[in-house]
Amino acid sequence: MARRVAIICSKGGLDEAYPALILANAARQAGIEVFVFFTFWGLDVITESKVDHLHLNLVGNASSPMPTMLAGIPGVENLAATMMMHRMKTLDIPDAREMLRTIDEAGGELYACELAMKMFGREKADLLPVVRDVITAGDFFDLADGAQIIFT
Amino acid sequence: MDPALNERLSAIEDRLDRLLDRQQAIDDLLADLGPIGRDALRTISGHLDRMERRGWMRVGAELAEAADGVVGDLRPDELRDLLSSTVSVLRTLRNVTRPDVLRIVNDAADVVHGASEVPAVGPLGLLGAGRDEDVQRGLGLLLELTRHVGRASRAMERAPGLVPGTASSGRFRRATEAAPPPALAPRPLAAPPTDASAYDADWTIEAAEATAASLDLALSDAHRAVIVAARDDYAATGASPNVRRLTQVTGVSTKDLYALFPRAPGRTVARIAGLPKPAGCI
Repeated sequence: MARRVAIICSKGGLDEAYPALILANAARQAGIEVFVFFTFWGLDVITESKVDHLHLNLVGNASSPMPTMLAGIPGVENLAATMMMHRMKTLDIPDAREMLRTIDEAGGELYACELAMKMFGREKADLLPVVRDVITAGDFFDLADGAQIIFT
Repeated sequence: MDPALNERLSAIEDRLDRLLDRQQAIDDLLADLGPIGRDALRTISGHLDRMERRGWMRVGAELAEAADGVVGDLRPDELRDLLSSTVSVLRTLRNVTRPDVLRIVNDAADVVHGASEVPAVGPLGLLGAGRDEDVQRGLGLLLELTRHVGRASRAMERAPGLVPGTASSGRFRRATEAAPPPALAPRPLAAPPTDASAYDADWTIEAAEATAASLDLALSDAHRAVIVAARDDYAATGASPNVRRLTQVTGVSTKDLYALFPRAPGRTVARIAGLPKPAGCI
């Protein structure tokens, strides 16, 4: 049986979504089967109106170089997120939307969490077309049977 | 009579007298000791009898049998280890049974006996108890003890000494006989190394066909176009193109690349094109 990984993306910050997306893409490049399950704030990553405006977690982030008091000032977080996206562009790292399309084209399977969709009041139509289905956690486990599981 | 002989005879006579005297003294001593010896024997057998009646003998027999079982179960080298450590076992026993140590253990046992009267302590109680001088002293002692145990266990890990065996055997085995590490899952594809040593300067399209065939891949024109583009890109940039780069230089979509090279396109293309494994994770 081919190697498989199941990645659960539960957070929607720019710095929190990317690890899941990069892991998924890297796994496909290495010939590993990939399933990604977006739940809770991770739904933002696959939501049409949110995917291009993912935010950066500055407050409460021990690794943030910015003092917490400054990071909380309106606009500061936006500035930091813009700077990070700019930096990624210069390094030729694709944006989240393109990463998702690449994973999908590479055969990685993307799923949304049914319960989280209800909680956040979202419809399948609100999601990107690359999302294959809205499923329950149990369905996801069935799909990803025998896979190594990564939670981000 | 020869005076010399006479002198020697009288000397022998002297010695005989002394021997007889000594024999007499021993006889007297034995006569005196007899009753005492009998008493002693009687006392000892009386003690043994009492011990027998109290069940000591049975305990002793059981112990001897257990010891016999343990010793019989040991391999010769293990037995040697056991005997060589007897001295340290006895020293440990002596240290542990010192009166002050025993008193501490005894006090601890008393506390355990009265456990029902000791109130339960939560995190706050723990903080409060930290101010108690006795608790502080006890904690210090425990920490020191823990430090020693940790140090010893680390030393044991480093040295190829005895380590506890598996639960099923319940025996001791040599650390050098430790089980081999579990085998890693097979890698999806034997990728070439990332460094330039993997670059095949004598690469030909025929070689590519052979490599592809060994990967169960029949090359079409579309395959060849990608492979040639990969070689050209390496010649131009000095870096092996990854999937994203391949889509950019060939114009072939990610989807089509995965269709052409289903297992790990970046690595497969690099291998067939005689290039190093592409670096980076995008």
